[in-house]
Amino acid sequence: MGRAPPEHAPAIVVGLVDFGEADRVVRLLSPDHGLVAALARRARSSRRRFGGALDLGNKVEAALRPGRGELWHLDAARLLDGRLHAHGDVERLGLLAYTAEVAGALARPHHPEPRLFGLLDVAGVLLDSVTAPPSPLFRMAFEAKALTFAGLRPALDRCAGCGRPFDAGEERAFAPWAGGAVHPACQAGATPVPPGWTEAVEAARRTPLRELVDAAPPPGPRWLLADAIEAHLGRALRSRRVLAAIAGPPAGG
Amino acid sequence: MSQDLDPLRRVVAQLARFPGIGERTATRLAYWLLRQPPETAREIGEAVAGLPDAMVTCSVCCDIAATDPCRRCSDPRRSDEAICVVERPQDIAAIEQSGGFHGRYHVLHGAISPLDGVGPDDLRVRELVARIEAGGVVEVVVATDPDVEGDATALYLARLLKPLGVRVTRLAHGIAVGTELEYADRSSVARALENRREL
Ligand SMILES: [Zn+2]
Ligand SMILES: [Zn+2]
Repeated sequence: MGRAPPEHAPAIVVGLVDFGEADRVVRLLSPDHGLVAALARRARSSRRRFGGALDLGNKVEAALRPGRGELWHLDAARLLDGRLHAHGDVERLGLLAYTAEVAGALARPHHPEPRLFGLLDVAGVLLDSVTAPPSPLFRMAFEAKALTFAGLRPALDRCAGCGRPFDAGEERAFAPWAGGAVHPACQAGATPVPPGWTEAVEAARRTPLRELVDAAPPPGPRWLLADAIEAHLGRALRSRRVLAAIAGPPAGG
Repeated sequence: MSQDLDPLRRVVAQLARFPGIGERTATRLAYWLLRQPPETAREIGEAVAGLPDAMVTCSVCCDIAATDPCRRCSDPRRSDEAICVVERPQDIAAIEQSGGFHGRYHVLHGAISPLDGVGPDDLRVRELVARIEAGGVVEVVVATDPDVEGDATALYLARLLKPLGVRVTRLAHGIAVGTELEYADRSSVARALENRREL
């Protein structure tokens, strides 16, 4: 039986796992195939095999062949857009990994995900082009957009409990397990958010990421959307803890 | 479980536990062993069985060694002014073979890896800071891999260590992007040492 020619598809590297002594399993987010896990033979042992193309966050043209079962074969990868400038500081590098993990976790395997791919691509380009870590609002907007593109739009202008739109000035809380903001009376245990928080996050969700690089986040909690992603996944985002651990020390500290 | 197998199949099953050794290679090795004089199997068995108890983690550099402190940490001919920081114990051999470094070493036992949930607290960073705070170190040469994990680790260390008054440099150029240190050839490593840069 002849081997089928590979399909050349744009994809972003969202995960890498060593496999045996010489190989790697690469997790790719592609617009047409969604999340694809592919075996890259000799990716660990040979410098010429994939060059530096298979680094986390890189956009590549992947030569993919379906394999038996879920694991495909990555025959070759040509670098389309590297993210080496994002390696300029540890926070941006952490965010590069975090955005890759979030998009990869929310993408469906072998199902078109053009919007999640586009979002991750834009985030990568921005992290590569700025010279300082972006505002926390950048990350929060990324999380809200990623949820939206995964069909899980966070409720911010109405209550995720009773469904009623919020009245101006009405007290609000956020319930990650319910998928968004709620009336405090509708979900016991929800985290209260200060006035203006839901409006600011909803506005950020609708604003292009590039306009949020330097935008100040609203006062209040900053990780509730990540909590919502984790509640949906039923597990922790591993890079989240690392992101917190490598965050810059306070000035002079 | 493996006690139920005949001795040959038991050896095959044990050998196949090594990374990179499949059932077929394990079978080949087991039959090769059977063709050797009996002391060969005994010598190999004794060496393997004694390994875990024979090796300790050096309390200075965190390398895996037969003594604590290890041979390199006790060598008076080495300079105390420079510490080369590597991800894995086997990376030390790659630097040593280049002949381009005569200082001390420090093994992190990993790299900051966001996707694996590995942060600085999971590495031997505290021990490195303690060595620098003890004084005498002028330069820290970071020899982590040229990938997201290695870069994140190097950037983190630079930010952490520079305020302690040491120069922090990084191996650069020479090691092809995408190659882990373990797989780099000698001349590449030597060139990389030549071209290390300030962080
Ligand atoms: Zn309600
Ligand atoms: Zn030592």
